[in-house]
Amino acid sequence: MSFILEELVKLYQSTGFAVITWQQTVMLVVSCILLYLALKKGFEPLLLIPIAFGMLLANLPAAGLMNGPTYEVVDGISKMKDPGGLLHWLYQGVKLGIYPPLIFFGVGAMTDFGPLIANPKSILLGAAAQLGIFTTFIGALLLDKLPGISFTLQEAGSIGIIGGADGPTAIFLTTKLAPHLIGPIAVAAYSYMALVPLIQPPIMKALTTKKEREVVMEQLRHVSKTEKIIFPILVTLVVSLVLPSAAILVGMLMFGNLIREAVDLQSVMNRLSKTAQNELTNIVVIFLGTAVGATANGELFLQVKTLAIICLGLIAFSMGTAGGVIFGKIMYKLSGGKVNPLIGSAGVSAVPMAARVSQKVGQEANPSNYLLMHAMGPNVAGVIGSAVAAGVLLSMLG
Amino acid sequence: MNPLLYGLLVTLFGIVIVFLVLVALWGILAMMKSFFGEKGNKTANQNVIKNEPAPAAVAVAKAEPQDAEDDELIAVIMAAISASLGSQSNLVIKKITRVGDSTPIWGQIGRHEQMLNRL
Repeated sequence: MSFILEELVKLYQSTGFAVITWQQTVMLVVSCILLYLALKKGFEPLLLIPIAFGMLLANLPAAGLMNGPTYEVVDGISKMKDPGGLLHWLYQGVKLGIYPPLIFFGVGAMTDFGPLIANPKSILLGAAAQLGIFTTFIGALLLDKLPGISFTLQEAGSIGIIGGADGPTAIFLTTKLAPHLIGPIAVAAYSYMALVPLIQPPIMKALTTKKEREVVMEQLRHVSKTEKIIFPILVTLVVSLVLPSAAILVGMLMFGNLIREAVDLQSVMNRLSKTAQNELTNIVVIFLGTAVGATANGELFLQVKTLAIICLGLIAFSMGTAGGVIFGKIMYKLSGGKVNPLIGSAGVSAVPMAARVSQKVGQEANPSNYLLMHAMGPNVAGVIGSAVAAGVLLSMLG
Repeated sequence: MNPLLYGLLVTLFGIVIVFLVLVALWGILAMMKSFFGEKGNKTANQNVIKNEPAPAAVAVAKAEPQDAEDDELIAVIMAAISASLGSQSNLVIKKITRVGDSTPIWGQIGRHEQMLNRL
């Protein structure tokens, strides 16, 4: 009888139930909530599902999916004893900064920079919306005054970049400056990007008058093929020469875009363009999402700092939106009422959601107004802007 | 240096550099327009007009009220018309009617293939 009992105890001890910690339990619940939000409420399902499932996998007790390889010395030679968990290896693409530039490559191949080329002054709105990054950076440093929370300059920079509303940029910068915060920062960045349609409209409405929101903008000019081909090459050269630390993100974004535009000259490029837009990006999104989710380790994630990061992320998004709209108002005044300030909020990257929000709020004020293409200009400028801001933070804090 | 002070310095530099880089891009885009902009514009428009089958445009112009309020479809039709006309003037669409397609199936497949080749 006692033999059977012993075996049962042994069996129990080999299961996850025997070793699960309370942090892991909480993280498993959190990952299920995220899965629910993604599946049922449609919050960025493409990203949130891999992230949430990665979180679930990494917090399984005793499974060791995130464990690194172990070595043992046999006869003076180091031999691999255990190759480590799959997620550990997938995470290397995040840690070494491989996935985010690849995502940028895909984003470049999917983005039409035509609206930006047609209306170059909208690029300034993409710069103004980066205000959120820097105000949050200062905000995070000021939290030092509160007891129990203190962020280093590097951590504050990584938190600020959430305001760029650009997941790959946030992950890229965080892995360079404060890799231990990657989990909370990625989760905050992607959650708020999904919440853009809820966060932005109240700020946009509060800062503009009905008259400003009703402005109908002039039709955009036609952009020639030559311009579209030269644009990525020029942007890469200019940005990389001024700010070498931004070269990798901007370079890959523009490389993807060049492949997209080259299809018109050399139809054989269609193969590369399609792969960049679809298969490659999809594969990298799966790896990146799962690996980022896997960094949300219970012991590291469940801290007061995480809560502070999530609050600061919201401030970053709001400030970025406000910066864009306020600059939009300045352009409205300077242009004599030709620019609708609502397109300013699209300066936070979040392509194309932020532009869609501009369109929606604009149409509420004036049902016959189509701001979408006008908002795409600042929107894609925002991607360049946040990559430049990341480059500045990297070179000054790294 | 005090971290907060250094942070303020980073902020100042950051905002200035972001603006400088993007203003430089603005300048380059403006220059690019004067070099490559207008010429490309005219030829592109001519191409569009040549490729456009004339009866299609007429068919769209004739009208009967359509019941569904499909904003996106209206935007697409409006964009197609203004691209094919290539005019700078403001366009007003009053009515849109769906007309029956008399193209035989082989013609439709041929057209579809043409479009896919251009994607």
